Amino acid sequence: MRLEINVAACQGHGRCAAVAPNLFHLNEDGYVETERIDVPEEYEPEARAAIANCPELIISAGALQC
Amino acid sequence: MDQDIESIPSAALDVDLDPRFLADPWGTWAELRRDHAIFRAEPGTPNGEDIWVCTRERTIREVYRQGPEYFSNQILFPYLPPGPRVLGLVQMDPPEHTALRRAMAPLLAPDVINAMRPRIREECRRTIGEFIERGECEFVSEFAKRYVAAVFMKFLGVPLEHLDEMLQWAYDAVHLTAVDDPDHSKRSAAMWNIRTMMSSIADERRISPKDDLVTAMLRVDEAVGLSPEDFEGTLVVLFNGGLDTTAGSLSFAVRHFAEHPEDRILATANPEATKNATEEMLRAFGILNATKLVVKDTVVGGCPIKAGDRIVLATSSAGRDEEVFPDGDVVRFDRESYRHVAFGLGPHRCIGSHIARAEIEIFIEEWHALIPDYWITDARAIAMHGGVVMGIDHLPLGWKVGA
Repeated sequence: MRLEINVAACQGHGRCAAVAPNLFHLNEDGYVETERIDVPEEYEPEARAAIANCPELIISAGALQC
Repeated sequence: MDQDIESIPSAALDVDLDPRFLADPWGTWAELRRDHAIFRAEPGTPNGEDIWVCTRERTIREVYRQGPEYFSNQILFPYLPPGPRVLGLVQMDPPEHTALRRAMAPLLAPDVINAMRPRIREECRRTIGEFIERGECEFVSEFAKRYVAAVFMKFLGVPLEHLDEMLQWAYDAVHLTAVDDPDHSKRSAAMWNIRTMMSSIADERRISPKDDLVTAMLRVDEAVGLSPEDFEGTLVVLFNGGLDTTAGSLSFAVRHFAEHPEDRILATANPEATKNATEEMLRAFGILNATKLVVKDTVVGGCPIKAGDRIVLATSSAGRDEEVFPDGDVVRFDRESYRHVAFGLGPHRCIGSHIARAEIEIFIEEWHALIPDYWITDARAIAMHGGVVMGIDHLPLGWKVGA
């Protein structure tokens, strides 16, 4: 699974890092900078939680799903 | 063909004064939301402009999508006319807003707030300790406002000697209605008092800097180059935002827990449950009815919106939107997602959201560790305010001492 993040639209809610701490890291300002995350299988539940919890709806499962 | 005037959805609602709304805001929203994703509130402004109210997440998102070209943050209250900018950050629009917001982001970022957690916990326990032996308290004035003030005013750099007076200013600056303050003179006086105090603290910090937000804001000002009005106005926003909003959320949360003893057990079962409970309180008891000024004619949810109108983004309603949360009136700590919009969306997302979350979460843990069993001693004495930031003004609680 791969996550795609529209980082330009990130508003720093910080929910992704709260529900998926193994996948998301915030910069010093509290915003996401990573545009793509390859998700190890063990963290797929976290990836789904990040998609479901982002208030700005900017995290999606990438097209290249295995 | 011209729009048939009769087909424009409208409903009677005054979020400041409507007694039905003040008695049961979320029940009132449920009824309004059933009929309208957006409606025109009657009456409009005193000058005859329309006030539109978005009740559902999708209409709120539509306003954010259209953005500042159509909707400006220059006003904060639906019933007041636009005037000179007095509250810096929150009244700015992009791109002007962007530079200031970016410069302030690291000051209230999650890592900074997480490092404060031990102190927040200590202030929570200390505040409860002031009255726990009495077996009763007035939750809002004795706990919620004092706890939040102890945490945030110290962080900001505001001394607490004149706390009662400051709390009155914070209330008057935001919550007075047309009945309380018909000529807005009390509101203006409160704003002036806060501004004067913050400005004099900033002057002191210029000479002798401290490790606080006011000092950090001096550096932000140097980097961004604000007008004196915007610098002071932004300090006023920090003062008010830090005191008032979280106290409102805490009071609705404790009322829920007082009425639902079983939820206290569930919410404190483990740290994950407490985090979920925090989100659920924010979702189910949203307090914000953020208002924007329409600056260009547009259409939202099929309604024709004119420049000069107001638009209220009732995130307090959207937290229970059946299209997002089919059982939104039920409080549950086992949801798959707590994707609510209580802190707003877009560039004006509440900059204090991380500290607010930490304060609520730590409150749920510490209050229930110290006072596991409590109740509302007089439900008829509960009083609340509506408006753009809703909250409870009076909430008497009791518990057994020495058990």
